Amino acid sequence: MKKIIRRRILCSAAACLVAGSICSGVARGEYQPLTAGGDLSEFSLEQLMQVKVEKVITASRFSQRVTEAPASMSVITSDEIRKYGYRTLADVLRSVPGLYVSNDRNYSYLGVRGFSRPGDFNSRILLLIDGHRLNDSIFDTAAIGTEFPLDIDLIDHIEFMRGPGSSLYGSNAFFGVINIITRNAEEVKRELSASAANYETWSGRASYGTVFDSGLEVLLSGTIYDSAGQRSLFFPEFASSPSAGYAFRSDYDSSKSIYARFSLSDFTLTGLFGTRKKGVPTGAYGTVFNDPNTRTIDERGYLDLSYRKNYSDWVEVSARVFYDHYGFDGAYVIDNGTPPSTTNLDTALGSWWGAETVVTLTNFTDHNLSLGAEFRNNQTQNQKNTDVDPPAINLDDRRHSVNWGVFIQDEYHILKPLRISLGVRYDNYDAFDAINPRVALVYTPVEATAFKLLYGEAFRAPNVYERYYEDGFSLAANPDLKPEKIRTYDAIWEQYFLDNYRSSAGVFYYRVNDLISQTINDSSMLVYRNIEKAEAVGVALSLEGYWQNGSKGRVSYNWQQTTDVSTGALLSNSPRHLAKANLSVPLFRQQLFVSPELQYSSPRMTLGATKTNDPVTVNLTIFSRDLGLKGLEASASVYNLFDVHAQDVAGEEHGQQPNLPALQAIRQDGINFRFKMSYRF
Amino acid sequence: MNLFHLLIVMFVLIIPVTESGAAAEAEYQVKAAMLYNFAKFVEWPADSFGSDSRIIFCVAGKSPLNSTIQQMQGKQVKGRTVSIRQVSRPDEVAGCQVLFIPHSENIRLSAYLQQANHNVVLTVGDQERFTASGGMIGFYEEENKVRFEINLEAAQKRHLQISSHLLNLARRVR
Repeated sequence: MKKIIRRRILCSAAACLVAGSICSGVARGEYQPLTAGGDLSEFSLEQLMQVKVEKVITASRFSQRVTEAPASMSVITSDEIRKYGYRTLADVLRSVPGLYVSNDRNYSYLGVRGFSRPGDFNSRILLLIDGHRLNDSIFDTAAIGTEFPLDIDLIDHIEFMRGPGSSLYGSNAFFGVINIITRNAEEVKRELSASAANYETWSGRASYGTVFDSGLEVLLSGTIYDSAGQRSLFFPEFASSPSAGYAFRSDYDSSKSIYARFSLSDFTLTGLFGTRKKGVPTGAYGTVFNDPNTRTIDERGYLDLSYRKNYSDWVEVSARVFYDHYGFDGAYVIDNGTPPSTTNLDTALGSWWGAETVVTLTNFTDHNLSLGAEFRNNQTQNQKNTDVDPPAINLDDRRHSVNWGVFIQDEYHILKPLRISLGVRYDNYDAFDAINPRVALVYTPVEATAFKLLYGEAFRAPNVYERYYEDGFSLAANPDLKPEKIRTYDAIWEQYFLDNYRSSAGVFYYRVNDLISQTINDSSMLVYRNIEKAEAVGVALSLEGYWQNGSKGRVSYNWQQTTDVSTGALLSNSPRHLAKANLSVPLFRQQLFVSPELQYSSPRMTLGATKTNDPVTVNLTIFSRDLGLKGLEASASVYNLFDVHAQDVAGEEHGQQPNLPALQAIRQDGINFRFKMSYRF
Repeated sequence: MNLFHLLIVMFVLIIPVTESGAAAEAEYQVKAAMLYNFAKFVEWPADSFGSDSRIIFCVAGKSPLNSTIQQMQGKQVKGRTVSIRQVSRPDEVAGCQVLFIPHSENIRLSAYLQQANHNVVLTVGDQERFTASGGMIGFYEEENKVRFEINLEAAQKRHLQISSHLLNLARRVR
């Protein structure tokens, strides 16, 4: 008996293995009494049809293998999200080779290739959900923390493309593109999920997915999340404040989101809405420190109707029309010298609609040709700032704008193992336009080996917040801002070996001109200017392995150096070294897993030129699936297992406290736990 | 440097877990296993095997399937032993019961299909226009999973009977 069980496990593990990723049907316990060893030949067709093969769509806007993609790609599957106990998109991205995430206890900020500029709300990263652009029209924010409106349990996999993507996607695809692919309805069925964690944190989700006989596919899901946050937080820089540096009960965080998707033949209608309220415990923007009434609310939603059809075997047309909404509502408690303190209300409203279309011709002689066009009408881009008592309007800026772009990309097989990918996109904005090319040479002498030489350019248009925001007390406008530009050079070697290892080694040189940076002007107000020229040079190494027993692991190391070209000084919030290790091991069949991960970032320089701590952070999750009850998943996670003192760099807005020194670094959570259960039926 | 030692130790610790590895080329592992499975659900006319007790799987040209299909060598299907044969020219397909034509052989696709039609061969391919060009089972991908479509008419012309089970699993039948 024992032997037979062992073989069964091997078989199902093999399917996971080959896929190098989740194998939904197979691993969920649909085992059959198989008699042969660890190859796929004894799998039924139904099982084989569930095995996932790793393909990516983000790098070329058509499906291709990771090794063929004209970029350095990482794919994170829902299986990893569960096994490692990731709570937010930020948690997921933190585990990806070469990326680092900073958190200022309000938002999370992603760093790529050593770039994460304080004051940038991830505007240099393009975030897509099933191809729909999530960056908003006011701040260009790519929301990756609890303000990200999609429950991460609804993610099938995440593709991350390092480097510029403006030749396909236009603005914001500056340092990288995150594309989130959602799960299909059939797989979701009915799911209930709940979690409990430290800091009085709770969450609940209910999802329903089905495919009707008519072919109509429906997915509906709703999530609520609430956290009281840390009861007290200590900021040593503020030790001389009335609360002696403590902020009490002001780290709260709560969110709600709903997601609905209907697909029928070639059409898909998606609706997403999420809202989050977060207390700001850091006294940012000169607000009264230790007042829990300072908070931000972010609200993001969209409706998207998309169409995808293969017109013949080699022509694919996809198109979408969409309507998007973004709302920001900040309440800042300020002290204008005469007690009691008053509330300053800072709001932004963005609404926009648009359309895009992409035509792909595959295997058109030796070419894969993509053509596309995109149009966006930002009908409302309003920002307002008012004082409650005495009433005052500090800013009432109403804007609208239109932008459009067209692109063409051709992937040409020069020789069988050698392909060249040439792409260029033209973007038109009210005040400027931009042309961004990308050239990639991909040489695959054998299936297991790929060499890539990449050159890319990208731009980011200044957003209305950077150009027009002026509140008279903390930020000043600069309507003359120009787009910032980047040129990048990458050389990458990807190699599969010993059947179950995959390695990647790369070097890169990135050069940014006219970088939009937050500076302090003569009247000590924050203002954005195209002042910096920066460059980054670095090395990226990673090794991934998977084994027949269902284990999977990855180690990565990045070295990078980013400098301000004009001064020669090192950039702030840029770690020299990044190292990560992830390992997931089955303890019992394919039903119980233990998954530790290690993350290290060398010290990062703060704005005050001090350095952050550099501890090794360890997280550990025990995850079970179908153990005891089919359809039941349970996980127990410990984050920051060794309770190390980790810090992230604070932005300029944390240096505006009257009579107090600027916050340099913000302490991150110590050891904390989460329990989670999901039931699918 | 402690951390790097830790990383190295961690990886060295997990390497003994390694058993004989599965190939990284998932897609062609799956396609090879599917090819083998197709044979279970197709009936060849009795005379098409002659006196041979084997069932011959032919693989045209060069693709990763050349190596992944080797795992099927010697297995039994329909009481016959699977034998793998590489073919490099269309006129070599005589005697094959199953023929896989990879997308790298696109230029010679019609030549291969023409030759296959002189025999009773189940043709399988992974180019976009495979079934439209007269092939019988075409692989394609959807949501990162391997799917297949069936050209029933082409199979019936060669007196190959495809079981309803296979037809039900095919997402598209023309």
